[in-house]
Amino acid sequence: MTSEAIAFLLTEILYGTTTSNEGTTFLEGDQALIATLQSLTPEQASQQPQNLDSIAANLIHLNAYLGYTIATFKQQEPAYDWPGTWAKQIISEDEYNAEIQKLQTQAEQFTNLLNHVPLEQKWPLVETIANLCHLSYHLGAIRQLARIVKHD
Amino acid sequence: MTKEAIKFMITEVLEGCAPGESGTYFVQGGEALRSTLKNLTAEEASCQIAPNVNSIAAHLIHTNYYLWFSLEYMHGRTPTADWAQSWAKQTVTEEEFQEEQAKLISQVELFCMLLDDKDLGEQENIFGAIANVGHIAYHLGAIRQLFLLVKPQNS
Repeated sequence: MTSEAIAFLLTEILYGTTTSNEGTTFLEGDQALIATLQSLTPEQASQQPQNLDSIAANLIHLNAYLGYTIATFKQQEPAYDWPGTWAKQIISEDEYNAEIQKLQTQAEQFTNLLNHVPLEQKWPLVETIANLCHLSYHLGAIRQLARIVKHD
Repeated sequence: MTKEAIKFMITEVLEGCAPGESGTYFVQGGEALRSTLKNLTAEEASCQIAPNVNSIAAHLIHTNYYLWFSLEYMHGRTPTADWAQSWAKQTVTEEEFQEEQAKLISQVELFCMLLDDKDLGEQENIFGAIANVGHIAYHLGAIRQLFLLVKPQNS
């Protein structure tokens, strides 16, 4: 039941609605991560209002975090470089589309791995829920930045 | 185990590093919700940086409303939601801002207490419980951006 709930909420954060179309727990479709990112141009995603990290940087960081988690789930030891995940702020159109695609692919991998992660143990479970919260946190950040860069 | 993990993450979102832990999963201590709000005046929290951007106060009031709504369900009641109204108030006085912060803390405490009595084998309970943590994390992410915009010296 826990892995089902996590997969359901991950889908909601990324796409807003579920395949069963039963509604959402807090996100509408156009407010979800993929639709929000796709509504922006790479130029908008590369803006840094008042020197904040850009939407592109938030996206690249999200993908890195998710990638580290997937590697850990696969019993690998990733080479963590947290400052490096925030280094790139400006993105081309090809890079932007590739990062959005990477997010979708990694989210799918993450969901598929849920059945192989020992969720009956505290730390794997905490890490899994942390990933959900981390995605949710950056969606909240990205949506504020999107409103600002679109307004400009 | 799921209850423990949910409580652990909601504590991280609210407080940052958990007691006895040396690190966090994604929220640094000073970037957690409680300390972020504590570092703002009511005037800063009421600031709308653009016409289409909700204030930090509005995010806080809405987060409290969502939590209240969930707590009602956890008590076995079925409230009628008015989500539009939960975004209506954008400005707060100093007293209202303090009250909303205190309400957030007490509602999270109540949420954790009620969670212990819930059967997370039931779909509605576990989806609702995890969604609540995700919802608070979402608004922390939003509030942190707004915080950095109204207090640019912290960027």
